[in-house]
Amino acid sequence: MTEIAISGVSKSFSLGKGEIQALADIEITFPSGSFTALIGPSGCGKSTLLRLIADVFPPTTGSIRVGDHGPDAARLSHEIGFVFQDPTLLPWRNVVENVRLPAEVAKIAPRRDPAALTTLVGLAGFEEARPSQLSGGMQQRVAIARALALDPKVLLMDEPFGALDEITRQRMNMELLRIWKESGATAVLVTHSISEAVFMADTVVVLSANPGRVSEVISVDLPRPRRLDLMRDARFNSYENKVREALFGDDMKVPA
Amino acid sequence: MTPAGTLRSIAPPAAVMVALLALMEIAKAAGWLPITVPAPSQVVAVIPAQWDNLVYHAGGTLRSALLGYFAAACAALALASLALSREGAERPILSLGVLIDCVPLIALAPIFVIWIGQGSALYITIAGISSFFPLLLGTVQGFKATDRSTRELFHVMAANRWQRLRLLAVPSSLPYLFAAMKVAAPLALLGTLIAEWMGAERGLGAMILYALFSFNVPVVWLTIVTICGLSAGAYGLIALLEARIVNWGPKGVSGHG
Amino acid sequence: MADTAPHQADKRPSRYAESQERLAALGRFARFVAVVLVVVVVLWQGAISLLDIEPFVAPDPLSVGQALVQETDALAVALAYTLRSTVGGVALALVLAVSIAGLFTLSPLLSRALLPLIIMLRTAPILAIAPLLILIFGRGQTTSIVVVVIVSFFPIMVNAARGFASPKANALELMHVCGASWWQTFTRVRVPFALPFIFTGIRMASAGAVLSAMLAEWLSGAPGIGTLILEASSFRKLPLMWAGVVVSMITATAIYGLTVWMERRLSR
Repeated sequence: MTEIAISGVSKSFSLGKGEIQALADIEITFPSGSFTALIGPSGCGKSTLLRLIADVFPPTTGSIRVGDHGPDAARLSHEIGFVFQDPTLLPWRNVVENVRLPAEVAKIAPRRDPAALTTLVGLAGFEEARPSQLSGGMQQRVAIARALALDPKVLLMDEPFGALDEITRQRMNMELLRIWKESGATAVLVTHSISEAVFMADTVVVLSANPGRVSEVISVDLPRPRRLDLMRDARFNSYENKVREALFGDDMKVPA
Repeated sequence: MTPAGTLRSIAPPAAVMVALLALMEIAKAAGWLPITVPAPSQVVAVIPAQWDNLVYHAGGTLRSALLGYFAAACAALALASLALSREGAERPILSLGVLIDCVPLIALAPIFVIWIGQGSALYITIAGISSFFPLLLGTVQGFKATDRSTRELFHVMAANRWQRLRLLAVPSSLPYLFAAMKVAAPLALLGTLIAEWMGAERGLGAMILYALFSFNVPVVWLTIVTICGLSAGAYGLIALLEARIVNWGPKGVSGHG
Repeated sequence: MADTAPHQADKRPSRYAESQERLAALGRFARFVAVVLVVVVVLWQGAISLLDIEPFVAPDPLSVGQALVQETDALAVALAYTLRSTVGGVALALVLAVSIAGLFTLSPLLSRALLPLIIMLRTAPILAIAPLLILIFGRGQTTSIVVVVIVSFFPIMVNAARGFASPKANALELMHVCGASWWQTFTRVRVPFALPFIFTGIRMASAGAVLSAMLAEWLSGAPGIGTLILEASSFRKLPLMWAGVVVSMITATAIYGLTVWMERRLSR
């Protein structure tokens, strides 16, 4: 079971002579196998939080637990899959070779078959294609397949579809839910989109900026599997409004 | 590129070349050109008589240029790894490179003549100095040419140093290395030529000077055409190699399609 | 991604901080040059005293300094000659290259036909044709200027052509929709977009320009600093030769530094 527990975490970066505090007093737990969305204005430190879980850098204070150990141990035992905002593919490798990369680095057999993963993300027939021959959406599918190659217990996604158009994005979100359900990983998604957060997540964590703090945690009690018609549901809209109110506070009140 | 596309991009410049040569030929026949500008046919006409001579001198130049080029490439690789492995070493090393690059070779040449005398050691040294800076710059830029998310990806995948070098740094530096190699090749030839002008028995530089002093105009032109041909050949060879090896599209790490 | 991460915050400093940064960079460069000079002189003197080097291999800094002082007039005259060829040649090349690159924007066919040839020639060791030019233009300053023009033309031309082609389609379409003439589009859009590219071309050309002028003088025997160095060397006036070398190095570095500075001023 891979629960992610973050307690008393803050993170500061030195900037020139000064210092900026990106995160302060973060206290959250992501239950095992859950899907959590992190949402907040620019500068609220949501990408930083994701990178702390991935052990890209350590927290300034506080502690993070991924499953039974720290983020570093989780990373070193290849339990973390990370999807960046850019596809971040190696242009000299074709699709399957890109998907196989994590296994190659870990020097173990892929825990999931790269060809099957390519099919899973809807790229059957493109195994031999180079990234430059694919559209942005297709490249991002490859990045997701790569993140799943070692069957990670934790799937971290930093605005993975931020650069895609709305239509592609909706379709990718549906597929992502299907893939996540099938993988059983604990997923954390950073997003700028309120409807995306509500549609995808069990829990929406709303962050406020300067420094980044958790301003509200909203559980989304909507049935799965979720389909696009859910967006017409009144409950969906009321969750969206809750998130919106948490983000904009007093600005949301109707002026008298 | 499709064959038709290749033809479309090659045809206009080729047509201009042919037209220019024809124009020169006609202008010469009409007597519009000075005695110092021969007709292309006159240059071609001296090839049979000069062939052995040309091969002999071109061989000397090519050898010096190649050795200088390889020495420069080794020095560039060594200095680039030093620049990248020590914190703060990059700026002074690159500044030194710029300094060497903008010192006029012709000012250095006489000093090297005193130090190492005339002969192939001199030609190789000057060829190396002449082609050094682009190689250094290309190597440093190449090994820095990875973006932040790719580096983070390798960190999250827990890649070790060797894997980062082999799977990331080396492939992503290749486009830069090839670009630098293409720029440096003609420079190595030019450096050799300048060194040979300081006084040489063998080499295209010597051949030009002989022809110049004996006012053998077609041979001067022939020699210079040969140098340009060698340089274009070196460039083309590297470009061909590049096309074979760097075959993953124009951009580095691909963005949004 | 506009999220908190240190490297992104520090990528967009304020204008003030930026100019401070440039000033600091200039200061660092000046300090670097000064340090290099001092180190070179100290090492030079040290090597000569320690290793007991013959004056014929390398004279000591003092006698080079003496030569610099004693032969100031000769050096200044020679340097002025070389600088005239260099600056005149680069200026002429600039006018030619920018005009021709401008013409290319008028006709895609012209540019398709000539640009590949120009790019090809740009990679050729153009300086190799210096003997030819001496043959054609004789042994005066004209030859030096022509050599500098030909060597400087290609980098400026290629960059200018790239610059004139650099405006986004949107900007050109906007001008078209406004009913602008070719000339208006050229002066209002293409020229401003191309300026940084042109200055990059000038910087690239300047490094080779001093060398080209010196080489042309040397091959043709014109009275510039290149000839001075070689004559001093053949008459075994070694301190004078070294003085000439030092002067030409400083000149070339200064010209290069000047063009880098101009380029930076313009491309922000």
